[in-house]
Amino acid sequence: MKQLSPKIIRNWFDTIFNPMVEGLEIEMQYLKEKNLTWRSFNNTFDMLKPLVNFTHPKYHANFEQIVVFHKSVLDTILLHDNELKKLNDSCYNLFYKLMQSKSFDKFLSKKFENNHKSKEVGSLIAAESDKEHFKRYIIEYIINNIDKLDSSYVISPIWNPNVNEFKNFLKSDEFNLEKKQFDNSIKSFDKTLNESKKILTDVRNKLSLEFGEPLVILVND
Amino acid sequence: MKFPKPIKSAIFDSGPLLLALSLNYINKNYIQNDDEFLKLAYGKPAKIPTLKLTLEKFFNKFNKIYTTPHVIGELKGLVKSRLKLKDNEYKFWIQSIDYLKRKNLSEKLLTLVELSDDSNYKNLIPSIGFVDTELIKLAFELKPRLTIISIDGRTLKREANKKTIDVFILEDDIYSFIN
Repeated sequence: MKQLSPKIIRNWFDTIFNPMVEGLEIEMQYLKEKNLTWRSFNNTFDMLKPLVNFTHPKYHANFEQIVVFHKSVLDTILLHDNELKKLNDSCYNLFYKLMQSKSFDKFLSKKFENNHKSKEVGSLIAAESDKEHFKRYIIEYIINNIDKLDSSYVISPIWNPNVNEFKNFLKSDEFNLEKKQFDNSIKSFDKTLNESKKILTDVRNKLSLEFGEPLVILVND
Repeated sequence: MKFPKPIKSAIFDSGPLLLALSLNYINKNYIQNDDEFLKLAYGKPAKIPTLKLTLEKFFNKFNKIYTTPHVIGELKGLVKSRLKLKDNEYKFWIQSIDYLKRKNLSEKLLTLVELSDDSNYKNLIPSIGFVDTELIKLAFELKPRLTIISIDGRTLKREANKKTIDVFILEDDIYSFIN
């Protein structure tokens, strides 16, 4: 017979519910800043993750127990992760389109040439492979909506004087399709984050009141 | 989420290097309690389930390993403090050297003086340490530029990214790599 106890609920909160809600809040914050933290080298996000990845693997048995009692939690996670995958695909498509684009390449070469006179940029772009290397990073910055960089970033002499032009490049017709898909994926993921948080916090609140367990335990620092 | 470009060579920090050598030791000597041994090598509760299988798949993909003599020095200390092999330490090193040769180990030395003379790196030394700074500079100087492999070096990653160097965090990125 299925029987829950306050001890079980406490552990659910500490190991699964609270880390996942915190994870959603982190993701909301990054999305608010439109910084997706997407990385091309591993085709994934630094800070946006499948929801279960915000919890420690050693507690995943608790997660499996939760979804037996609350299928809505599983549905929420699946929806979140599916939207995240769509967002990732749209980032990759935009990245790939920019990497392959001859007009972007030409535009970038011009920027490199214009800035080549400066000692900082000249020493960076010593070979064609350097251009390709920095191109990848510049595209990531465009996708992640990065503003001006401080001087500890080696690419700042190229990025900072041209930041608006780099970002505006996506307005060209050539990228219509990918940009539209990208914008829609962000909107859709944003909506999913809000819905996911509501469902998880609703289930958590209901359990808290039913079993008399606080959502979080007071810790004396 | 697929890994777009397979990494076959990379710069290894001491943590992943210790894991690779420990795996080799387990396989060569038929260590029974392999999970426990790997946990010792890992040095903290591993966030990677099915640790041995996952790491095996990961390390098998590399055919060239880069590192620095200072990392090898760190490794010596880690073997002693974490694995506590006592009489078997000699065997561990003999087998490890053989493994590293098979993986075409390349050691590149950057000195403290060289690093501190470079205005792009000298300020990093006090904040992230000499060895991590050395890894970033090495990754930047090699052509094509290489990825650094670390277990959990998030500070290293943040600083390396500023120099346009990618850092593969084992805990976070391993599934996108092997799937």
